[in-house]
Amino acid sequence: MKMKKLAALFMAGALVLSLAACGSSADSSTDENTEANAGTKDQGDGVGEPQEENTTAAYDNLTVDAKNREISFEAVINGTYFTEPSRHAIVWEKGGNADKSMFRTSAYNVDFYDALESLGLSGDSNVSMDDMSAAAEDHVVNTGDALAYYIKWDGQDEIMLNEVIKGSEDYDWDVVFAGNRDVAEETQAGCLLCMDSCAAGITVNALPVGTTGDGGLQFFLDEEKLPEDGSTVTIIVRPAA
Amino acid sequence: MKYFGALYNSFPWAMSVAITCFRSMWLQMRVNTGYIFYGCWLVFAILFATAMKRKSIKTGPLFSVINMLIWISYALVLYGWERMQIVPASIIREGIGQRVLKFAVINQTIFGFLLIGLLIILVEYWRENGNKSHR
Repeated sequence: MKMKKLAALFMAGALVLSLAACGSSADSSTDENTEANAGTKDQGDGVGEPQEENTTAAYDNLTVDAKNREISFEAVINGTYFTEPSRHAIVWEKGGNADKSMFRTSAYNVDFYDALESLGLSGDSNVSMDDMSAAAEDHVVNTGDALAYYIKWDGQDEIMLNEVIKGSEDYDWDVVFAGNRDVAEETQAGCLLCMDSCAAGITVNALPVGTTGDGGLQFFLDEEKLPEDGSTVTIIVRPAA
Repeated sequence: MKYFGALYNSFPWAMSVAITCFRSMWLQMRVNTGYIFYGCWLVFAILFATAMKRKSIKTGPLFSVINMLIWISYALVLYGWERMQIVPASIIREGIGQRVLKFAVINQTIFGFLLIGLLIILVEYWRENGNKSHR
């Protein structure tokens, strides 16, 4: 009888823990969804218009500094990718690829597109979904205005983002504004930055599609340089000089 | 209580399937491996409990220990010690839609489950065998 009670207590405890975990996640996601929807609605006609103020908050969770021509947002480190590879560098937390990305952000990727465009930048949207099965040798590459990505966190001044992303071998770092607004909105994959060319990423490291395919180049977060899993960092994007 | 062994012993089987799927970059990038783990755990536990009910499988502490050791060896061969501390925890975290739960906390929970679970199985085994020897 005692054993039955012990087991019942053990299972009840595990159930309560898992329900608590799921509950908090669901609650926060509901709140965030509401905020995200409100934010999207509020943008209204302002989307794509040049920002006049030095710093504006026209987009939820994105800070656009028109004077200094920079966009910044917060992102959370996903420690899974300290040891596992991913081609998704930064993804909107509600996007389909959120759990597969190195950094998750509450900034919506379509807002990010609009913010980049508001700085006078443009992407060519020249890679289609059909191109995504191309091999690296086919050299299908996104083109658009060149961008520079930086990262900082508590106790660490701004450094280039590629300094905290390791490759399985040396790799080129050449980020461009890919465009892809329609595909991004349609697929809701959520990608703000992909590590190689892509049909859905707003910005990409302009390596050919297929670079990260099976047996290809692999990318990891650098655990030795970054703070621990779950830490918040700030990402800053500027037009490349 | 009789079927706790089914729940306990199917954990390493389900985790073996999940970590094998996670190993595939293609699958890992497209599928929530947490769902694979929880789904397999449920199915394996039901199958195991059914087999126990039909008495076609006999389990005890030794079976559970060997079962667990085989899983740990398989995981170590597949991932090595460093990745082993992240991958199972990451699978469990992804499956419950959690993003801020620390890997260390999940690993401690897994360890606690394995240890306390084994103790429960051990005590139950002693109780059953003790009862039989007194009859």
